[in-house]
Amino acid sequence: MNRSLFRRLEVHLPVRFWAKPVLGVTLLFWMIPEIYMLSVALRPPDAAFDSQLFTWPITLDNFITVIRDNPLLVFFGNSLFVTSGTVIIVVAFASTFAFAASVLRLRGTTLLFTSLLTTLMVPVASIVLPIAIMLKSFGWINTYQGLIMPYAALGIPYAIVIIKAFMDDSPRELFEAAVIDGCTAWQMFRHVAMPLIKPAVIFVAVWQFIVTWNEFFLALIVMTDNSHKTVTLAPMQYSGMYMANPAALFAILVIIAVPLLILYAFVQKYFIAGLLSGAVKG
Amino acid sequence: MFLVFIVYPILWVISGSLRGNGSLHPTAFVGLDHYRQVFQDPVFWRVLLNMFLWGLITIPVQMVIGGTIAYLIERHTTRSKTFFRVMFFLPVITNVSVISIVWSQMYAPYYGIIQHYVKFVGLQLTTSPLGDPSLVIYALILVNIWQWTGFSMIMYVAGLNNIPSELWDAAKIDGAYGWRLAMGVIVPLLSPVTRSLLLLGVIGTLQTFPIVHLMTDGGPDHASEIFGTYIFKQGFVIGDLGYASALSTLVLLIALVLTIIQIVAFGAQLNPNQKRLA
Amino acid sequence: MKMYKIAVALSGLACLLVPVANGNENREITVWSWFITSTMQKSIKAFQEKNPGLKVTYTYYNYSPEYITALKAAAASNSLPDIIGLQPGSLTQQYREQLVPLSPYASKEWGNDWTSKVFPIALKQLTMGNPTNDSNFYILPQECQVLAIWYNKEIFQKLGLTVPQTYQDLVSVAKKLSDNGYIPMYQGAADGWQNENVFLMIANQLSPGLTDQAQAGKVPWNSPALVSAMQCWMNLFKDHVFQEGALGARAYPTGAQLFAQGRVGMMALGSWWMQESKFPPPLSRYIQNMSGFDFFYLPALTQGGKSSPPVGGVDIGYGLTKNGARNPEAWKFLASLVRGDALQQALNDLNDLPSFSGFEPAGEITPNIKQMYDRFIADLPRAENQRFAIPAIADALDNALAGVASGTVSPEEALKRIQDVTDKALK
Repeated sequence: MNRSLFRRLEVHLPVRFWAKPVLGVTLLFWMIPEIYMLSVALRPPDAAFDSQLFTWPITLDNFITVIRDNPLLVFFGNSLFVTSGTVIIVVAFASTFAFAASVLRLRGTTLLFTSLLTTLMVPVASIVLPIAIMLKSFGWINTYQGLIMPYAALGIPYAIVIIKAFMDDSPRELFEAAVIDGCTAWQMFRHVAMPLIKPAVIFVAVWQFIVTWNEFFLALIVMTDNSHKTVTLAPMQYSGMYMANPAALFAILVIIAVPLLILYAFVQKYFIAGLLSGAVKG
Repeated sequence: MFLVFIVYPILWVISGSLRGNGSLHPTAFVGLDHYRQVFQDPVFWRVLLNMFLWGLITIPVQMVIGGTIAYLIERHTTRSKTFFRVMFFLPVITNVSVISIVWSQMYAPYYGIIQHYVKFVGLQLTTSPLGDPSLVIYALILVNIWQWTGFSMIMYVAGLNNIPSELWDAAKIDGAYGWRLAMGVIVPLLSPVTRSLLLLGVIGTLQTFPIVHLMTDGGPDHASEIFGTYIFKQGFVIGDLGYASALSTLVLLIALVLTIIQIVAFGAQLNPNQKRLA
Repeated sequence: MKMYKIAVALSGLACLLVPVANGNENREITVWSWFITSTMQKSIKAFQEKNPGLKVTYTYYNYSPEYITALKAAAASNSLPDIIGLQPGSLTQQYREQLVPLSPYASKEWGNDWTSKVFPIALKQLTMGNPTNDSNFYILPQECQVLAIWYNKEIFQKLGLTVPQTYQDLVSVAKKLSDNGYIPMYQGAADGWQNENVFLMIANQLSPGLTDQAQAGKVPWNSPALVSAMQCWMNLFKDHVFQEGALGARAYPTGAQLFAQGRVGMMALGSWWMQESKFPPPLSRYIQNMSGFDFFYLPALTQGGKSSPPVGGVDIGYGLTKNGARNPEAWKFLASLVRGDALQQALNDLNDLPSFSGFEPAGEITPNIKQMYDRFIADLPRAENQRFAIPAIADALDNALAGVASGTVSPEEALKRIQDVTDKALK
């Protein structure tokens, strides 16, 4: 049905005329929950669950409350440290591994790849306990490495899937030429593979950043001490049984999402890089 | 080092599934008892069905919507490109606690957001899909699609930008436009992205937990139970770790089978020499 | 302010660089719970003032999934704090092996007759689920609660409604509320605990204590009174006493919020709900001094029946972990929490009712709140038990109630499923 609609539209009207209206209308519907979220964060608490999308007057009180009541800077610092650490490790390992699997085709990588992938699919609830036991035996409870290492371990396979797909997709001739030119594997990685997969790497980094920034379950069991807590642990005090303050909850979650939004908005334009490098390749 | 964080938990879980019901540490060896219980448990089959529906609906729908949006953004917008890319991605970076509350409010009859606006055209919602056992899983799937389509979109955006521009030109010279250009040229070229999304979609499906936990907690009466919530309930609420471990091991097996199927099915395409059109 | 923020930022940075040194002279007591942070901080302050040199570090978690996950992970890896918040029955039983018996501590602190000061329902719940021959107390109760139906007095007045005395009253009150655009009785039926609470109100008006015997395996779940209770439960949905779509709704935050805002006529909550009047900033004019609200017990749902007795028990208790038993100071704080300065602070915030007799909330308590408080306290000694000893049975009841409410399972079939689980659990 969709298909024929598409086709009919196409006959009568070139895509470029309806592209923007379609995007605009879709976006409008898509944004309803987001608008509601922002609007609740700006409401006085006694109007939090009014069913209108907007209410008047708006207030910044909720933001003031959550900033006043939480050492947000400490939490942000912790999150930033843990997240950057994880992203660096994940990107470094995943890109070299994907390179090895895809280009060098080292023996056994497929097996390793498959097993890594499989383990990813287990719900976190099943592995929380063994991870807690392990971290305790390493003495890593309430340490940064106690979060960075498991995050990285769980993030790497995911990253490999994405980077490898892009690596598989890049022209083999380039690598073959590099081999003929006498490039070492490392040179090939740096000068041939890296530029090709840059969009994927950026993507993986952003993705890992978002996931780590928002991760909750492991942070909960690893960081029990206030000075080490990450930002995701702060909102729960506003959503608890017996003490629900949705307006404050929405406010703090908006604050937490802002760095992600900025990062993403800043980085998404680098996806263009892929287009350019593709053109240069000829 | 990294393998330690994955392999140890897996072994722990598998060995736990073969032992008694200690609520913290596995006790005596009981063999396959837990597995027998799992297979006799009607809730397990319900979970399996729900997970199947979840993957079957979520993954393709996200791909189609995300891919279409990506295509429209990349090919037919210029200055508003960044705007659209950012806005459609917003749900992905929105916290699940907010999403669960907002969507529950959307679905709610007569104090909800949708109701507030449809009443102007004389409609009265009489029930929440979240409270209807036959609808609840679809209501949750819709939320999930809403949240993650932006992810498919940005993957396709990256993929589209990875297509060398001379290919576009070549296709146009051949007279491929619009729909035919999309189906004949772009879709095949994006197949690596699609494959990744399929794999990630399966992973995402099996790992789903917070959105369901927060919105329905698997209810009413297990109607929206999924692996994440059921394992959590058995292991943490009821305290039957043996049973929870058996469930986890089965998830692991399902995951393994799915991964192998994907690798076998796409194995031919993994051969780099046949793949590129140009 | 600015300097303060910079200092925080710097100390944050310092934390990044140096592992936190444990060399402070304050002896530390660690506590985990789902108890509201702001109130707990007042309790801690009061305790620390009386006990210089001691420092209590409190970690707050949401109850589910956060708290139960953190607790289980810490228990499995032997990193529990000194004191943990627990509910009697199933939750306490899951951690029994990590806890120390508290009777010796209590007797030493308060003398051998200390149990006579504890409300009977609380005392009874403390040993729920213990193995036979084990009469130890693994937790001590801090606060108790009584379940009740709260209603918005102002809405009732405006619509000329009175507290329902019969089921017909209840249905017509609900109808009148709905007709005027209010939510009749908000039920967060997606939350198992809220359904349990209402069901226990119903079952205990039909036959007090029967659910207790059923969960202990002494009477079958499909006893006539329980079948009848299940039917009454189903009728509350069918007759639109609960709002439409209740099964998809949650009690917190949505229900409590809408109720406080004055959009709901009635809601099944309990004595703990009074604390909302102390939250800053006040959620609404109705909730200021609780002037817009009052409570009643569920009227008789059957012809010629009785209205519900108070149902309730321990809201929250605390256990001393084996780690905590090695910390000589930990007991002091636990004692203060259940029967001392720390408890007093919680009561002043109207957090809930005490478990030991002889306490009164102090500070800014209006006469209206005081009279509600006194009514709850007067009813607490005769409260019926609301807790379950075995989590699997509570879970089975939750599912059965949701199944019956959605119309997919008949009351008899639902009760049979609970019976099956009970048989298996007690085997």
